[in-house]
Amino acid sequence: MNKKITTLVCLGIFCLGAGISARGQSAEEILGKVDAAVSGAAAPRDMEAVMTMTITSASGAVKTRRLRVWSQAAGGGASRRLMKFLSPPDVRDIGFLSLSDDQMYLYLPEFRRIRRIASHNKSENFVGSDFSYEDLGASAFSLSYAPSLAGQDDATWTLVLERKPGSDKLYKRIRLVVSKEALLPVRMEIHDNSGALVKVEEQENGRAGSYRVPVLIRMKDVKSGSRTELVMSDIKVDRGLTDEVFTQRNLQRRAQ
Amino acid sequence: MWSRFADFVIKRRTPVLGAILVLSLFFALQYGNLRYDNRLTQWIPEEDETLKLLKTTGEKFGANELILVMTRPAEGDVFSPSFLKTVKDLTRELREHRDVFLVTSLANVPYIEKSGDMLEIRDFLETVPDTPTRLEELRAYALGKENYVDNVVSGDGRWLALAVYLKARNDPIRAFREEVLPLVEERLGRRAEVHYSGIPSDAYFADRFVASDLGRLVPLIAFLVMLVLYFSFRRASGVVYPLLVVGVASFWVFGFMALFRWKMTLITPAVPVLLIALGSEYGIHLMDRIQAESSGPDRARGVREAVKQVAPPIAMAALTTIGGFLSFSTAKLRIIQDFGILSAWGILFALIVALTLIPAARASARKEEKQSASRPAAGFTPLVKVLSRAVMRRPRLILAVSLIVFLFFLAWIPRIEREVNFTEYYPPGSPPRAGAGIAQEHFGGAYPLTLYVQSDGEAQGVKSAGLLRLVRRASNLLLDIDGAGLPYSAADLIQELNFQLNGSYAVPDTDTGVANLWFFLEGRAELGQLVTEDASECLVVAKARSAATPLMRSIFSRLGDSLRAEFGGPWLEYRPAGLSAGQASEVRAAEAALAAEELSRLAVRYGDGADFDAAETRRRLIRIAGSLPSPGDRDVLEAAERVFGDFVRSEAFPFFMDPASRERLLRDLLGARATADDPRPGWVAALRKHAPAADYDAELAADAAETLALRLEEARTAAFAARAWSAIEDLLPERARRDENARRKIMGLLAEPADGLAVLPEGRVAAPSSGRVGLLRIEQSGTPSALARLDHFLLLSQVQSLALALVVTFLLMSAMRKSFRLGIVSLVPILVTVAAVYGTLGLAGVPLDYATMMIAGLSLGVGIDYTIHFVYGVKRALERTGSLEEAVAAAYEEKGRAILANSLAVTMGFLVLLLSSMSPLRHFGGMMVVSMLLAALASLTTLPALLLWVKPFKRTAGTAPAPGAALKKKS
Repeated sequence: MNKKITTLVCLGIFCLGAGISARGQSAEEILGKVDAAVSGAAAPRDMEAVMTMTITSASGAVKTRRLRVWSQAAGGGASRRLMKFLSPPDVRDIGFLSLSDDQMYLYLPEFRRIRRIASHNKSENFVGSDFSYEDLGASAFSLSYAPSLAGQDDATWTLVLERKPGSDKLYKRIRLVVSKEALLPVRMEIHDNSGALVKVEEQENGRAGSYRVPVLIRMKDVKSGSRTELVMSDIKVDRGLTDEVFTQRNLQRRAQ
Repeated sequence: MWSRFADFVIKRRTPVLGAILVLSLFFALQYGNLRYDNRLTQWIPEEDETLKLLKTTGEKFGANELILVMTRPAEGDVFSPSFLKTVKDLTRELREHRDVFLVTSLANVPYIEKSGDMLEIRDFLETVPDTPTRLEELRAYALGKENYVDNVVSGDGRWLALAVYLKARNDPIRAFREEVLPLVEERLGRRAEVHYSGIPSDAYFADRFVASDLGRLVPLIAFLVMLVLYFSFRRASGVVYPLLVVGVASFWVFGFMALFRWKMTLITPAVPVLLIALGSEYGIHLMDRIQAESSGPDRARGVREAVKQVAPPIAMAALTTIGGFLSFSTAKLRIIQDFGILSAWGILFALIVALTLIPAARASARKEEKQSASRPAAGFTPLVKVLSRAVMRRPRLILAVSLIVFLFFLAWIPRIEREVNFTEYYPPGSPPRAGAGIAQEHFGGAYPLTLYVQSDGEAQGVKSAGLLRLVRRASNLLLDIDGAGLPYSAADLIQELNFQLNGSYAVPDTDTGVANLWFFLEGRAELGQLVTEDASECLVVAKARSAATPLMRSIFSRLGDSLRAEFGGPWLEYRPAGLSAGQASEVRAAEAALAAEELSRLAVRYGDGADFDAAETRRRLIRIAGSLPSPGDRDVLEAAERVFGDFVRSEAFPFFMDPASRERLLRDLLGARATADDPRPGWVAALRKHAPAADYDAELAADAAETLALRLEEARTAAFAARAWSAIEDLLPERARRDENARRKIMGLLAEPADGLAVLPEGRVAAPSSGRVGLLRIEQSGTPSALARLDHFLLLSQVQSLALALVVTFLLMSAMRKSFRLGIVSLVPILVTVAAVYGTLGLAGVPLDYATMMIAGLSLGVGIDYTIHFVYGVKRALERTGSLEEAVAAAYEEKGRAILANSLAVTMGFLVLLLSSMSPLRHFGGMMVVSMLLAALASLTTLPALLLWVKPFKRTAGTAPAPGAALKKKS
């Protein structure tokens, strides 16, 4: 009898625990995991990849650019990034270096000059794509946004991120759909200061080594109808990139 | 034939009246499709090349459907945080509308500035400052930027403008009415003064004025014609039936218009006015005959007899009037074509309704109408008698006077001015006139003037260095054109960027250089207005100060000549570095000469037209171009020391070195090494010497040497530009010399003869070129070309329609009377009338416009009616009496009063147009009044005198009954 009661009690506790663990993750916890996977402890320390950027205008005109991208976690949820254009020929060797939100540099090979780009340029679209400079950065969401859990299903959580007071981020609100399995975003609905939906980003995630990384990102500008697709290939992670990679010196070296 | 027709109508009067009712209901159902369209660009023929280009630039660049929204706060300053924020929000909200192509205002005009090593490219009002100091800085900056002033802010800083470009494909007028106007009024209406200028807003106001005119003028003319009819007939039926005829005809005409989706324009209000004025004649003549023939108990017989007598002349009159209107179908302008065809249909409807409704209704009438004791239009009898006596006694004197009048007014015709500028049509003080005034005074106008540039489809399209230099050259042509504002193009954006990045306001000398700079501009909204997505076409945009027709003609003509002279043949690219010394010298000299031309235009424009010795400037520049700076020259070395120092001391320098080592390296790089023919090996050696051995990399050193070579070349080019400036500075007008914008542009021009690219017309030099500039064509477009074409078509339409109307009328009259002599005689009174009317235009300074150009055709078509009736009367009387003199006297008796009564009714109708909101209709109405009165007078003076002198009839006696003779016989 006692054995039966004990078994039942254990079973009950087990079920209760399972139920709690299924419901129990708070929005903050989920967002923390996303930040860790994107730019924190669970993210690659550094990454090198080839990015193919396809920009399709509202009228259907298509432009394709290939870049080599290096990124490195810089601590505190921030990251450093270097991009060099490989094609088309008229933009080959143009380089973009982002050391922080207010330290961005552009290298123009024909003039052999590096120019620092003003920080409030981050709202400008990157080379005519639908990604702003800020979109391409990889800072932690939780530094600037307060999350709330809007829903979930078997595969995803849906968080609503509201910009924190005092934050200088561009977007007032982001509806973030996170993959439970990859702990990475799969969809972002981005709202501007007036609350209007302005962009929708969709992401497909893949594997690089032991990490889950985005391999395809699509951004659509809801108002203009244009869209940009970034396809990541030749992804290499944790190669021990040195600080020297993320310097102005390296910025002006020819793309390989 | 007419008897059988009359019998048919009378016997089947109920179905006939029913059919009229059914048709009226059918047309009524179409009224929901009535629309306005007062965009004058829609009136140019579809196949016209100017229109095709207008459509191209409109669709691809949103260039033509510009609305300039000009505003200033009701209280306070333009540069206040709240007002700036409102303008910024309004700019954003307007941009989000689906029908809006682009909006440019102070909020989002490009701000390109370098601060230290930082480059900023952003919207000007990224954030709105809220401190007085920052606001003042903002104001000072904005008023110092020439591409802001007269564009988005007025020169005195008291007005702001939002340039709203609408998508050409959608309905711009509807977009203005339903999207732009409500939003602007909501955001600014209560707190600011707002004005609008530009074709879509002008057309919107035209639509409102047209609607107002239709609502006011049509009832008024109906009332006036009623008065005249009552005065003439003194009975209700004499008023009701003629008015019913024209009422039904007008109703059908608008339904017809709606059925075929023809749009109403600014001259549409003239259609019902014309119908009421002209079409009432058929009812008047028919009612007059019915009244004379229907005194007995057999009403139907009287109606039949009246139809038989009156139908032929009124059918002829209608046919000739229709012929006069149809002459407009050959006009090139759609507004005129549509008006002519519509009016022709209206007259046809009036004729059909008159010959069916009146007989059917009168045959059905039960009540016996009391006959008026007085004859219709009895009031005109004394005047008719005076005219009859004068003509019968002195026909040759009358003819002589007619000839003198004709010749006098003919002499004034060449003085007629043409006016196709819409803005001039509005009442003074109306919103479009006020807006045009503000635009002209504070923003250099609101009328787009553009140059369309098409590349030959090569990969880089307009992003080619050579082609962009030609775009810059073409845009500088506009500086020579009076009335044209400062041009703006992608070349200006590239030059501005180059200046901020590299210190030179010039187009880079390589395609890759252009592509590098273009990289910064990708995605910026204003680029969409300047370059197509595939970069194969671009636009230079400017504005015309006003749309006055003489200015438009002048701009179109001068700019067309300049473009043909400059770009009639191919242009080639040359690379002096790849040429021999002699060839390079030849190329640089030719390039300096071309630069001198552009410089002259800049100097005159920025010098406000002050004297400028272009020839001496050219000579000096060619001389300077013969000796480029050497690396060893002091000014070059000084510049090189600066730029080398920036490079060696920067974080981007490829080698890790302490400051002292860098300074030693710097000293080594300059001096003898720098002056070698090819300094790069020497520099590599210097780097190997000074860089830490562990850090040294041959590839990096070679790359650094290339950077130094580029910097040295830039220093040489800058030194050349500085020397050239010194050489010509004393020739520049003082204002141009002191203007920062002028200096920047001139320095950029002066640098180009020393850089790596020259762009010259084919055949200018013997040296071999490196290829053709990929330019396919440069053509002007925008308001000046549209209005110039409209002006051309207006004149062409006038001449064509007059000639056609004359020929058609002559042939019709000759065919109907089987006599060429009679055909010519019939035309003479009308020719005198038309000459007098058009001579009055020249004498009184009334312009020829879309409405007044129709006077000739209308005068012919309408005035000939009087001739037809009078000649018909003479012919019938001649058949009775056998004597021409008696026949003419009888025609006066029979037709004179009706002609005068009818001309009075018609005149009243046209007088009403003097109350129109739009000046073309007022002028048209006034001149038609003169024309109708003159036509009536000529038909009762010149015509009978000519008949008595020429004697064109064959005599046939005793075959026609006198009027009313059938009645007398029966009784």
